[in-house]
Amino acid sequence: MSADRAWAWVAALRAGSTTPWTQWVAESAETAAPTGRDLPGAHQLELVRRVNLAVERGTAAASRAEVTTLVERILTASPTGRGVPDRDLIGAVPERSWGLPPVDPSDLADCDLLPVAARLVAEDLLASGPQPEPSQQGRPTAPRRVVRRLSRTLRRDRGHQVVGAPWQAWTARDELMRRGRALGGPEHPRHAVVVVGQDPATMLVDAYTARAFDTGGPAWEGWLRSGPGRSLPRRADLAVIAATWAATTDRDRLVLVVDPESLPHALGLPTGALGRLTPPRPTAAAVDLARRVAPPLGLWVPAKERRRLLRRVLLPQLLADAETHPSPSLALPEAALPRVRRRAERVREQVAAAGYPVAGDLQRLLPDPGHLEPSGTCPDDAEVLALAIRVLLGATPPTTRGAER
Amino acid sequence: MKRRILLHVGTPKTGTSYVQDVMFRSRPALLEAGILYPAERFDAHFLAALDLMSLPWGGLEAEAIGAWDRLAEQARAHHGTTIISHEILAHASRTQAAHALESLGHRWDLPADEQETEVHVIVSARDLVRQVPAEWQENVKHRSTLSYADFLAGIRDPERRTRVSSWFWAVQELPSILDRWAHDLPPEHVHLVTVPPSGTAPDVLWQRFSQALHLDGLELDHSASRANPSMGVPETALIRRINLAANDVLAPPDYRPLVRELLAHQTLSQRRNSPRISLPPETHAWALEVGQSWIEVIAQQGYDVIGDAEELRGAPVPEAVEGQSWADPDHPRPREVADAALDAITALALEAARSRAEIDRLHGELHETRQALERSYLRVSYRLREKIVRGLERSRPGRLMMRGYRTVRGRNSPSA
Repeated sequence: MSADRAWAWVAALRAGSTTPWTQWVAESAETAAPTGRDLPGAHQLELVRRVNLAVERGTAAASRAEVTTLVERILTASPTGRGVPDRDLIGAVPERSWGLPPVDPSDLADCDLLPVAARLVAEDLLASGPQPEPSQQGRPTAPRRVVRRLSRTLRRDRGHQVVGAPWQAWTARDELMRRGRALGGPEHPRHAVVVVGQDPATMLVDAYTARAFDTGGPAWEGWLRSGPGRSLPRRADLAVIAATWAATTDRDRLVLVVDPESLPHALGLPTGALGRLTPPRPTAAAVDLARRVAPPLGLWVPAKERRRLLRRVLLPQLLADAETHPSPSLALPEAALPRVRRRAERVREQVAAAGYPVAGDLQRLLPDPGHLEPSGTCPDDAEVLALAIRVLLGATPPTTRGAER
Repeated sequence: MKRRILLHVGTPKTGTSYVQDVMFRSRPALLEAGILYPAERFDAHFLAALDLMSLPWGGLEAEAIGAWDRLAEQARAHHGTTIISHEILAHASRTQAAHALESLGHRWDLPADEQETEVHVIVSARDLVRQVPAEWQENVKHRSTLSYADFLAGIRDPERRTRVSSWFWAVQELPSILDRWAHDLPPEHVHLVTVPPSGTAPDVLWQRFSQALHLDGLELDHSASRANPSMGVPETALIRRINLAANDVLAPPDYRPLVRELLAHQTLSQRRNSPRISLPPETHAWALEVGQSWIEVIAQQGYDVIGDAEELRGAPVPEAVEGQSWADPDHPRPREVADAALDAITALALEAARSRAEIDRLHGELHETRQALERSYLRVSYRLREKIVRGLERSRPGRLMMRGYRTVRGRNSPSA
């Protein structure tokens, strides 16, 4: 075997081959001249083969030209960040006393291929351009803005600052903005503070989802152990969140909403708004892909723009993909369940003892047995990679669905 | 005249900061000699390297967007010699190195005599016997809590599974760096600067750099500080313990000035009598073997060595001395750590005193500003406007009028 044989395999991959390297070497004696300074790395070559497999199986609607463009991008892509060195193709480089040993690309784990795929997804998001926030969509005319402001004044609507469970709060703020409602803040010094929360199992999933579609971060199971002393993260502890807001807010302006069905009323919205106030539930693979895409995206855009691209462009794509490729949602692993049950009891007792104004039944803070079943559990690398490839191939073109939500 | 680019791509801990500082300060003198050092700020090449390699670096990457392409454009536009230098370029993958060379005008598919741009790759290197402890200390100064034993185990793992070991070999494995950056360059265009053994006069290293970068005979600004003293065993152990205790509560913007600068660089590095960090005997022997294998690779490739390739082997394993054991940074002598901690506490107390003095001064300034503001409130026009607003706020129609006024003005804060 030699580099010339490897270049011939590269040519075959470019033409759509799905034959693994070792099989190709065994079956073919073809050689080819180099078409670049360096032979692409094993990660890149294997990812191209996986893309070809996806195209062959018909899981993507991309044209041949689009596939060719994607293949060329993969062949010249390097993963971002530290700790992911390129690996040489076994048999294509002479023996040497230094460096990591060359590998058979088929031996690479799915998680080894994801950094390159995540970088390319991030590049695609970047290319999609800036997305408007709901408040900017169809911005009302100046007279309409004046009417809205007067209407709010007459209704004594001082705005609602929605805090608490970050994914749920983001969804609620989105809906308020879409309806042109005030969100509290310095312009509304007497605004109501609505602390939203649910049972700890749901809050943990939602807090992790919100983080994945924002800054990215550690893997799901690692994050579940990231609280003090490897306990559950404090970010999803409703008792702590409520205490923090109660310390800085007058009781008459504070309300703790523990039942999603009480949320429309707490926000002064019609009951029909409940659907739009329910946060989207991306699949476990979708959440994991988002948390992998966030770091490379953060290299090129400010934090606010990154969040916007992840939530306004990638999230709708992933939700649309879930319709054609159903996959389990994120759920707690078995090992975390006893800790979650204990926290649920403690949170309910602490919230009840604090005497906050509450909308909904505090019993709702105890986990729904359905939520505690490890139905989707942890993200699976193979599913995440398959999803990334579908996204790269544009199988689920961007829509404005999420932005319209 | 052919355009020539001298690309210094590593490695860290080989005196690169001093060389870069001299070149940055001497840009006008260099330009007079036809040499461009394209940098508007001292870290311009660092930012370009971050951009080229898509590396996150504590938020600095946001300033790096597009920096490599701008740097390459400047180099391509200069008809003479251009110097680009940053040690983290050693981390570049083959693809990134290929992109960098292409952006500088190098064509991989043309022989050397047909190239429009003559690219020279320069790598400065030091033996692993000194580089391994230096890299661990550098990690500790960047908040790492990794023990020395775990660090050594990580870099000796053939699979290089950890981020730390992966980074270490990416920026220190000399044959790999040379292969990634220069496998398609003529060997006479690849220059290896070796760092002389400890105890050699500092000028020797500068002379080698000067030769590699074609700076001989030029009047350059050498006022930059050359000293970059390292910490000893108890001092590094102390910083690691501080990391363990304070990482969760001390934010990076506070860690940098207080722990890295004040404690590590300005205070603990000044203590010269404590034992230096070295390799345990068995690891030392391994480092000598690796160094020897590198020397053989370099000899085979025929690169231009400035210095002595034999220096890459490193000092031999010190002979065991009766009653003296190897100073283990994971188990330092408690008394030595306590002494270092006293110096650290003193430095922090002095810094706290300086900060208090600054706070007092700012309080004084604030007080004077408030007084000046109050005096301005006594002006007749201000008093009249205040009276009107207060009068209106007393009645409901007046309040509505004020609300309407604020609505039209686009804000409704209650301030007058």
